[in-house]
Amino acid sequence: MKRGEYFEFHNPVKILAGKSALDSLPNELERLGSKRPLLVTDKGVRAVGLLDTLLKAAGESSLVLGAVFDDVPPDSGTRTVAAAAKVYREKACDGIVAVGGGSVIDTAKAVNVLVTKGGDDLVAYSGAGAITGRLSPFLVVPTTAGTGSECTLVAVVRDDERARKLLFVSASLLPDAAILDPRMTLTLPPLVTAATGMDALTHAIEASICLGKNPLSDVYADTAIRLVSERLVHVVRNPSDTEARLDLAVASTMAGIAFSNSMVGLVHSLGHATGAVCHVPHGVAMNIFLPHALEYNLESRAAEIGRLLLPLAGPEAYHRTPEAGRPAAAIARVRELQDTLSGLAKLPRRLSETGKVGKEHHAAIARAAIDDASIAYNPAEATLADCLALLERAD
Amino acid sequence: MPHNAYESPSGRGAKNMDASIDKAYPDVQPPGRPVARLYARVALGLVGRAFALAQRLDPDVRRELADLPAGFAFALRVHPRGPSAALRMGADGKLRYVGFGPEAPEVLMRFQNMASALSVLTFSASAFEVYARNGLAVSGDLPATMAIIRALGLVETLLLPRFVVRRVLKRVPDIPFLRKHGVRVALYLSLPFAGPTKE
Ligand SMILES: [Fe+2]
Repeated sequence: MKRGEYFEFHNPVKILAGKSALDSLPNELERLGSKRPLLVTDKGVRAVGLLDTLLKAAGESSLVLGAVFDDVPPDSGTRTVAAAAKVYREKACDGIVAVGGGSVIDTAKAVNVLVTKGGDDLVAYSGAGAITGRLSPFLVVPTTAGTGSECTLVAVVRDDERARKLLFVSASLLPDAAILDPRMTLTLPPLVTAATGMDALTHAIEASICLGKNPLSDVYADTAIRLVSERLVHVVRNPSDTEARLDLAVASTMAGIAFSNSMVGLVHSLGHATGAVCHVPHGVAMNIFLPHALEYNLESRAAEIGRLLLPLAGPEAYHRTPEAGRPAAAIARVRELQDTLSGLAKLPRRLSETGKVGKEHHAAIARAAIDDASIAYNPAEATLADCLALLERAD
Repeated sequence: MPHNAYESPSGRGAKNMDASIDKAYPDVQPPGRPVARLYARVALGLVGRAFALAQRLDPDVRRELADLPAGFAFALRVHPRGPSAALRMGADGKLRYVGFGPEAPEVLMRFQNMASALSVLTFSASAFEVYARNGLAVSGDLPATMAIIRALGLVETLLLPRFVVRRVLKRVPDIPFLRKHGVRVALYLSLPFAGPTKE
């Protein structure tokens, strides 16, 4: 950014992190004045016993959950939000605890809008800035280390009536607190760990090169990139290393703070489009498009991409590499990470490896990508033809 | 005597206020910025007129906006009092410049303050960067918004010299030389006569 240029940075989310962070849940709810929160989660979280872990951690406290709503599907929509809001009202809840990944957290954000603002018409609140003021007490316990949704001002929910995605952007959606406890991510299988980790890395990298980047978001992005780069492969190899799991959870949250302030670009435009057209999981799409989009942005952001080599490869490799070679070395380091994760967890590196995307889908994906909000934040212009060419390279 | 041109619409002072206190500690409002306001008004007016004309003259602009339904309005506006330039799609498929426009158009691009509006309207910053840094807020249906932004880039390219366009757009769109200059001449010739359509 040009020196002296105006920017904003906003992160009001209190972060509680550590091996016993969950034990602080009851106190946090007390601080926020919530006596009967609704717990929003999904069947998967419940099935692997994470709810029991949470309740055990909150033992000997005065915690009372008004209800547990565990019907959030992977691709949640307006009907789910309305159903959860109904439970909240019927059971006279006074706050929300979201326990889950991106879909659960986004659903809980939307539920919070309905139960605070009233009514059942979520569409009226969609778009940018339509939600104002304080919402009800809202706590998030992420069970993946990737989306960063616990610290972003965005929620995406499907409109079940019209089969389209509703985007909500408002600082009011930000939770009051996020609890990062490694016990919650310990059971993630290697493929999910790898994919969500690459999503977090993409958030931090795009935050570092996209148009909204600023000195404050840079700090969060830098540390997030370093932590993912140092820890992701290690965690895939040693899934039960709690300290390393916590590092990834912290990295994911920091990347969320970074991109909630500087936004994401082309990797996400293509990833959202590929998800919508071919149902490729978000993290997998991020992994596939990241190096290609970096190469695409190389011309307009060479210096910024070169600087990524420091958090990606460490100070020694950074200083060994002459300045002119750093951008290419940074992208090579991302590819190296990809290859390792492909070997360890079978994380696809190409569209064809997903088994879901054929060349016949490229046109529809490219068209959806240029209508995605994130493409405006990408440093280099990307037209329909550019997206098609990039899809071809990623095939 | 009012201390500036913009008295607060609600009127001064609350009921039951002690008059002597109100006299010693009156409401304070910042002064107006008439020159900036006038400039923004003229610039936005030109953008609005040029947008409507370009939609008739240039096939690419027309294609970008082809999906907007009749009655659809969008506006570029400075928060909170304007100026504002709004365009509305007619039943005949023609885009019309309608002046300030409706209170809540389908797509609203709102400069958060006069400073961010001026940085874009004097071409000292790119609208994308100002948008990325929250100086410009956009609300409305996403695909429509993205199409309008792409069309706006084309309008700027048709209207402005290349060295200016290079500064405000990420990449100068490819428009065939003859068409670009033909449309540009037509735009310059018709702009002085194009007024807002009354709503
Ligand atoms: Fe993401």
